Amino acid sequence: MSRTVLKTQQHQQLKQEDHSSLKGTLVFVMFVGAFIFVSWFAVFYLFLIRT
Amino acid sequence: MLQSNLAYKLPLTEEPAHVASKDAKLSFVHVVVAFFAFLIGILGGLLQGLARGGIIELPAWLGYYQILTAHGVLLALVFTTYLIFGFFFAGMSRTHGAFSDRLRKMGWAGFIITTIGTLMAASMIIANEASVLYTFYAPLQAHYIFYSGLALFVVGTWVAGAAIMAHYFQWKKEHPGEPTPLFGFMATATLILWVVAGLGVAATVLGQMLPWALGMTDEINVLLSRTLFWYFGHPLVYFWIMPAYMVWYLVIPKVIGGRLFSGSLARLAFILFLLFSIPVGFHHQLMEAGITEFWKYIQTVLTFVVVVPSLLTAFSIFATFEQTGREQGGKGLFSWIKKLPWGDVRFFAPFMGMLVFIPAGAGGLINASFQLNAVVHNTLWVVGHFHLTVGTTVILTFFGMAFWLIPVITGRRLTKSMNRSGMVTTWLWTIGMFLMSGAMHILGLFGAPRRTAYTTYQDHPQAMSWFEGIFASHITVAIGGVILTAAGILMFYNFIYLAWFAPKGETEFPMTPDPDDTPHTPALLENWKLWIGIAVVLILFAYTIPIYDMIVNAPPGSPAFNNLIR
Ligand code: HEM
Ligand SMILES: [Cu+2]
Repeated sequence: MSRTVLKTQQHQQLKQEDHSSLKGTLVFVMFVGAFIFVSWFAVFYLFLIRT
Repeated sequence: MLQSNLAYKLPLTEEPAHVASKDAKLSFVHVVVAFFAFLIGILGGLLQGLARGGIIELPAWLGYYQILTAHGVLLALVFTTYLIFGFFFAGMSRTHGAFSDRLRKMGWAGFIITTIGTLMAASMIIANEASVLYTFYAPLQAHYIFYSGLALFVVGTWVAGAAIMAHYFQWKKEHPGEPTPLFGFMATATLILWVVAGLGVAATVLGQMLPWALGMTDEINVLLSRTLFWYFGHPLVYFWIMPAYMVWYLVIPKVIGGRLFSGSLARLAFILFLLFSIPVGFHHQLMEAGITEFWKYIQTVLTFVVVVPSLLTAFSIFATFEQTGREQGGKGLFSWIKKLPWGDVRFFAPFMGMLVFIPAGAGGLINASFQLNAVVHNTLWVVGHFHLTVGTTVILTFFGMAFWLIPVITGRRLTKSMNRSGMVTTWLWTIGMFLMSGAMHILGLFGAPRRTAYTTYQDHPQAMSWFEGIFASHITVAIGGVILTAAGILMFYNFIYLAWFAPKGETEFPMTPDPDDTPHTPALLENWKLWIGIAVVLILFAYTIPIYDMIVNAPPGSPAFNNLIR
């Protein structure tokens, strides 16, 4: 009995975040930003050690 | 915000997808020219990769720089431009109704002029009278027929572009107060950009190179000609990428069973491209003398502004994926990704293009940063970079497009086996490019120059090491090139099959339903006079003083060097 309650609760929670959640997109854009940052500084480092 | 962006939640009031058959024919001839140019172009690429790697030696009658010119011109200029116009003619007919006879004739006239220009330029490259590479930098001098061909090519695209824009503005006039269809809006932004950019190339070709090649002038202002070229050359890359973005914004949402996230955001991105992608050409000339740091700095800042609409695009597209995946029952942070149609080449090929755009875009930011540009300028890094941007992101998006566009305009069907063949093509292209472009990037960081036939620099140890690395090696470039060529030939087969042999039938032209925010489109975004005005002001600001300086304090003129790279 209590398990069913829990289940519905969980279900409801999931439902709530479902429709318009853009969490995945947030993680994705953060990843893109980090990738740009790291590659930029990698080449900047090459510039520094070559001058 | 619980509103749904999904098609199936709303009554479907779509008219049947339709491209008028006369418009389909005009679109089709463009696609045909594009793919034949593509085939010859990639065979050139194969020979370059093998020759540079020392795996083959070119026969005496075929020069490395001759092929390199053909490769750049056929792929970067001819293939892209023809496919874009084929896409535009079909898409305008689908979204704005059939072209009037008058406008369609104009479209044909544009096609014919462009094609005459292409043939003139190509014949000179074949005759080895124009081995000046696709940037035709002075003081390398080509035959005057080559320059005349270039001029006709540009003018022809203007005529065809005028037909498309007239069709759009006709619609706008007939529907006062309504937001215009996104396809027409975006195509028009792209074409305005193209016309304004083309003025630069027309100016240098007609005003400088043609008189010089005809012997009417002895010397040429090299600095000015390069500046005018890059005034055109940077918007050129947006002319490639914007139609690819149109596929992402307008076609992909439909293919995955969803709806574009926001129409206004898409319009805003395209307006920003129009405004900021022209006054930035100096980022290709950062290492060049004759332009003061101040103006290089200004144009670099503007370059970083034009990054914004691409970031908007990345956000928009990913948000569209996530919303669609969730609406179809996907859960969790990322497991909704499983809901996307991974087996559908119309989605998968452009998706791989998007993925590649992450390193490609990061590389672009590196190129545009002054100090970092000093590290990579004129090295193979740059070649690796644009094989990711135009050579993969744009090309794979266009591949994906071909699988529905060609059947739509030929009245055929995309078969299951063709879809599978397209999936194989996409994988091969991606793997080949990973090897070729990856190796080029690293070789470039080690200093290997671009635009250089096979050489060991008298067996200099540094140059020898470029042949010996496991990944960072000319050999890896060559292997990647072979895989790419296999993919390209397969794609050519796909094209032939879809154009002439696939079973007859109806194919859908995928087009996202209007985004929910369409009725709220700000009228300001549709105010073309305003945007063109601002674009002109930005161009005048960024270019007037430096160009004035190049003319008044001109560097010594250069005579022709037309036998250096023959
Ligand atoms: C089979 C596929 C391809 C192969 C094997 C290939 C290979 C190459 C190689 C080895 C180079 C030149 C290296 C050098 O600087 O000496 C090159 C240059 C170039 N490629 Fe490709 N490529 C392929 C496809 C493409 C595509 C699809 C595009 C564009 C849509 C493209 C555009 C260019 C351009 C613009 C250049 C520069 C030409 C120049 O420096 O003047 N390539 N390619
Ligand atoms: Cu650029």
